[in-house]
Amino acid sequence: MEITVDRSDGVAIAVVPIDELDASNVGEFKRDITPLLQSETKLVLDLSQLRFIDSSGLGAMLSCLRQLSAKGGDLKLCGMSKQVRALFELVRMHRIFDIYPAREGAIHAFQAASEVQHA
Amino acid sequence: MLVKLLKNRIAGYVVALIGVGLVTAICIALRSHINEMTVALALLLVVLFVASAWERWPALIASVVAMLCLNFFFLPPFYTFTIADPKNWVALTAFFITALTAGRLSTWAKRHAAEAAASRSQARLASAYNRSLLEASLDPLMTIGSDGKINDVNAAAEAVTGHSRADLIGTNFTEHFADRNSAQTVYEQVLRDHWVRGFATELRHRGVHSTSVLLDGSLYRDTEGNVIGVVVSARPISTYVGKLWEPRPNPTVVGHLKLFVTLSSLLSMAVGILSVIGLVLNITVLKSVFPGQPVIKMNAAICLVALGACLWLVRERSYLSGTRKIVVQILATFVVLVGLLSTAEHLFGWNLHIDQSLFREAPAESFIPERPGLVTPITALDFLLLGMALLVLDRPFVWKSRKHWTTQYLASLTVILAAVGLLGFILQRHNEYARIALQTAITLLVFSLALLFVRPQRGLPELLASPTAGGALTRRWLPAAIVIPILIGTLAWTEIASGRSTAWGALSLMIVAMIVVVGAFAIWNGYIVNRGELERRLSEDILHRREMELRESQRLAQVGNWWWDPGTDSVVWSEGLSRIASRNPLLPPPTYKEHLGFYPGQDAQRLDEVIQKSIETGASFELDLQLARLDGAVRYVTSRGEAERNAEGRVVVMRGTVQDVTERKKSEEALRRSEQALLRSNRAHRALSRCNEALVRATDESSLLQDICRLIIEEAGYRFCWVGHAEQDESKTVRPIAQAGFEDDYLKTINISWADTERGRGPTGTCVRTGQVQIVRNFATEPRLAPWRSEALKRGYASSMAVPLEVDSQRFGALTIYAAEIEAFGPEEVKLLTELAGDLGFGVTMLHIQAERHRAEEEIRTLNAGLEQRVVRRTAQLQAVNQELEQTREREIEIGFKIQQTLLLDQPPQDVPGLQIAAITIPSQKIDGDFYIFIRHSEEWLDVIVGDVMGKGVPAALLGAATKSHFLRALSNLMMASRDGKIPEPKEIVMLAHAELARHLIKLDSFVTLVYARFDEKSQRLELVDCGHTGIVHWHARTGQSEILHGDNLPLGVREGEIYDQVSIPFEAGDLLLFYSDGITEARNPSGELFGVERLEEFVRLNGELDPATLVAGIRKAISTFSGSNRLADDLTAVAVKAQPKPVPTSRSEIEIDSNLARLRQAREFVRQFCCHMPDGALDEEGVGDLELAVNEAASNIMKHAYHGRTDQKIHVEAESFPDHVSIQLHHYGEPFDPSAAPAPKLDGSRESGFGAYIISRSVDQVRYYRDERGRNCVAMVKFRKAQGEPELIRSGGKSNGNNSR
Repeated sequence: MEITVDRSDGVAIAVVPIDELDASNVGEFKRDITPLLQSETKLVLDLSQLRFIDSSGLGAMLSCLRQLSAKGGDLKLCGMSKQVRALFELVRMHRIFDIYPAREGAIHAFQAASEVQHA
Repeated sequence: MLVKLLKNRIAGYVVALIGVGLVTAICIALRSHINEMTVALALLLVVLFVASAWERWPALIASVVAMLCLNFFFLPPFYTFTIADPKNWVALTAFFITALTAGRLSTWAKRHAAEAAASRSQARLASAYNRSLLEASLDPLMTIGSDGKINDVNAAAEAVTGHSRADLIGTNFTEHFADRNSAQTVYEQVLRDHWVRGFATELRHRGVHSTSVLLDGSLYRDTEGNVIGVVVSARPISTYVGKLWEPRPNPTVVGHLKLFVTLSSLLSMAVGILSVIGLVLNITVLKSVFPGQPVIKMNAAICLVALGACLWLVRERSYLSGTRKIVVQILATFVVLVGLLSTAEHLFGWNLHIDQSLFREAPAESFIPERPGLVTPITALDFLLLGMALLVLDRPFVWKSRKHWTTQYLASLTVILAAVGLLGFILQRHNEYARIALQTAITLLVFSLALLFVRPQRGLPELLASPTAGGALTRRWLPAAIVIPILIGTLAWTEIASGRSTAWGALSLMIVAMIVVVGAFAIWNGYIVNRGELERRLSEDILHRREMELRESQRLAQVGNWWWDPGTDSVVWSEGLSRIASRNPLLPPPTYKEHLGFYPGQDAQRLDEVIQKSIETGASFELDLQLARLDGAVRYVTSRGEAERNAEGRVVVMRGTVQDVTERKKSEEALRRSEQALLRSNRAHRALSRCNEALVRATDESSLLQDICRLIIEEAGYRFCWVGHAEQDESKTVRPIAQAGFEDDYLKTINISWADTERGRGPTGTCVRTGQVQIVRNFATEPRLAPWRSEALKRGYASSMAVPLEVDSQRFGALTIYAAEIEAFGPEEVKLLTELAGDLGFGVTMLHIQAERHRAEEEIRTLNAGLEQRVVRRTAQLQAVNQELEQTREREIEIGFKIQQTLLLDQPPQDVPGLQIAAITIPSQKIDGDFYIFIRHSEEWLDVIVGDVMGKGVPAALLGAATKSHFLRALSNLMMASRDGKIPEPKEIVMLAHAELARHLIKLDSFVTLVYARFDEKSQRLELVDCGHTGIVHWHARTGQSEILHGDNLPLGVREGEIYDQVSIPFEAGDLLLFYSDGITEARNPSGELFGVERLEEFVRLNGELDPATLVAGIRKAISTFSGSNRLADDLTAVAVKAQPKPVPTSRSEIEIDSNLARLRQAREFVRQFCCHMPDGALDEEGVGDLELAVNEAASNIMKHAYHGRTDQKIHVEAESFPDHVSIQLHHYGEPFDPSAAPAPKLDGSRESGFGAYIISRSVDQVRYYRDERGRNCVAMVKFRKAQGEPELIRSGGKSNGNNSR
């Protein structure tokens, strides 16, 4: 899958270009997101196209978060559909991830965090 | 040069000739103007000059030549030596005698003057010494005679009392104290006790204030020892620091004054000479500056020259030498004479002809025609006063201590007189007595002022040059006081003279102008003084505060400071310094010498050297010293100091601080000592630790000893170390066996023995012999080391220590360590090194023991080898036999187990509507013949047969299998025989099967207990044939009670042809029936107690609510807990059946998908489609999402884990809809999933997988994992519909089973 990346103030916003992320395509997703995880520290995943995600997809998200955290970066999610959000809440992952309704919120959160850091 | 010339007599002769010749020539030229008397006087002056400069003989020659010249040129007849007039003979003789006498007198005077000067100088020296003794004290000092009157004082006393020395001397000393009685007391006390010290009183200043002082007094005596008075020293209590501030005259003002004096003298001489020239050559402008004005007189002109010369000579403040002094006195006397005689002429009307004695003047220009050369009264008075002023200059004439005052008073008078003379010019009016020439008036005014200022350090000029406000005021006011009245007076006069104003008007104007100008000037100056005063007050206040702060900070910092004036050896100590030296701060500070006494030993010398050097070079210094306090304690101090110089660069005072650093020094010292000790003991510790490591690793003795020596040198840093072994030979040699460090063949030279001989009394020998530690503190001094000293010192061994080594409690030798420092072995080192030696001995002992044991073990090993081989062989044989036996047994169990699993036990069906069935069998080590059979006839009926074959092992299992097959055959036969397809009654089946079985069972001497139960779901009845089985527990859901059901039939195989009765028992939905084998009731706990039917019934009663699977699992657990073991003696079988009304689905759908992850989407779509097209209405979106997710996770788990990723397998998905819920089951043939064995999911983000089962359990309301009657593994999920209004409540009501709770 081709993940498109927008940039705004040092924050990379990646749009997950599929409507369903399950065990069948999670490998592909992991493979294609890896370059972003290596090059970026501030990453926002835009999940607005995603209609369904299963535990494998969730695992992939966790993997992304852990890779970014390990090198001092952070991952924020935005644009979740109700069903996708339901899964995150089901497994309490809404407490692990920073989830924003829209990408602007995620970008703003990154900026605020860096301001706090610099202050 | 000049002195040389003066000393040369030839020069005297030459000067005598030339001088006389010159004077004669000048007189010839001026013959018409001067008379013989003037010539004689002029020649006499030359003689006097020569006499005073070159003594007798040149003076004689000068006299003779002068006489001849006078005779030849001036006594008629001229140009002959003959003298016509006998009167002139007399005159010539008189001249000659006068010249001779004057010459002699002059010579005598000169010599006398020299002698007088010498004795004066001696007297001065003596007096100066006395004075210096007095002045040496910076404190006020008075000597008091026996009459109580002051004999002498020093400058400090003058300053403190405010009286001059002259004023003080001769006064009663008590007058100068605030409390006269106390002063008197001091005086009397001194006379009585010969001294007094530190008497506190107050010294009165002439002004208002007084100074608090401490009086020290002592007697003083003359050379015979008679008491002639008392010396009193008054020490101001306030910290009196040397001469703090000396008023330094303003150098600019002083310079200007000096220049003014010089210029004045030059002016005076120039005006005089020019006037003489003007008079002689009759040049009008030189005689009188303005035409028609008074003309200068010859006498005045010559007096001006004389005055100018005098001023020139005295202007430098130096002790006038004889000649200079004489010249000045002669000139001054001359001026005084002129002034005096002229004044006398004016006063008394005499005519002494002094106006014509030097110069014949034209009478026309004179204001007194009959005395043309007479000076005006005012000029005469001026000359008189100025001459007198010059004569008394620097002489203690009237005011002893203020010798300059007379001159200055006289000069002031002449200033006024000259000003009066000048006023005539300014006001254009000349009085009779003030007809003075303009140049004379100006010159006299200037000269008078110059005379006033000729001593800039004294009197008025001192005030003028003073840097104080007083000086500044005087500098402003004095010129103003002269200029303002003159200006205003002139103005007023001009007004009157011109007739513009009346006298009254001019006078008023003058007064008003004076008030305005003087007032404004006063206010202006007042401001300036006021500002200065305020600043001074402020700085005094600041200073006072600083002083308090300094005192406090000195106290805190243990710092003191001192001042020392090397010139007077006066010392000031601050309170802090006195405290450091534990000296009473009230005592006067010690002198410099005394002060050095505080520093013991070399320190005093060092301090003295740096201070002297500092005085020379001006460098500051810092020294660390020891200070011996008066109380005997020694303090460490840091002394810092520097020299203070005055403007000329001379050191006027040394000052410095002393800081008590004892505490710091002590703590530094302690720290250093403890650091050293720590370092040494650390080294020893390290050595000990490393040595112990070496000991642990050691394998043989010699390398161990070598290692230890090496470690001691390397780790502890000693110079050399060796281990000597005490040989048991005749000479008791100590043989070196290990060594390390710097040795340089030392061991070859030492030849040590441990016998009690000379070579055995060294430390090592003694140590070996006595077994005591031996320490040599210093190789250079220890007497017993004589045999080895030189060799040891050569190698840099300064101290040593020998420690005995014992091995097996036997004398072994000694460890000797050498250090490069003396006294290197303190108690800590000795302790550690002794410990080390002990460890070393122990190590060597252990090595010996180890070697011994090795040998013994080797022997035993050899002996045992054969025996062991035999044992091994036998053991192997036995093991082989045992193994065979075990294998046989294992095989049997395995066969039994396989029989049981495959032949005896059925899977309980899971899809019987309204019935939930669970079964459990735990095989014991011995196979039992338990079996159960489930037979489903239709949707409504289920037959359950539970049996137990008597006996154990494979035979019982085979018999069980046979029984089972007989029952199935009987059922099949009966069903085939039935025409209408009616299902045979249980009793029929039992009897038919029994008919077939009984014979065999009897023959085999075995029997089977059995229960045949048929559940009729529709009629809710249980048809039961009990053939001697254990009974059935029936739990009633309605009442929560249970009962045991028993039939009364015999077991199978007891009697052929037996009739079996069938009982019918009703049950209700929710009831539970438990079939069990005797393995349960006969399970025993460790004390041998049976589990029993009662416990089982109780258990079922309490847990009847549970579903059958959970219940049987609970029974199994209860049995395990009860018996305290997982291994049971007997097989344990339990079958639980729960009646449950099963609703009928309103719709149903199924799909089969491949076990490929790509098919997950298909499964999800199936679920979504089914849920959206149910006859009872579509499921809500959230519910659909949940089910979709659950099915996805379940399918994904099956694909990944059950099929291990194989994609060629199938998953059957079945969906059923009910009015209130949706049920979906996934069937597969992969590995079963045990939810209880699955780990709990990690919800903290630390794991990326393992959520599947958790997600399923949270997404649906019920989930069950089971194996169905067709042997498929199933995941069954139920999702309730969300009811309107209170969805959560209903849903929570729906989750009836604990493991599904959200």
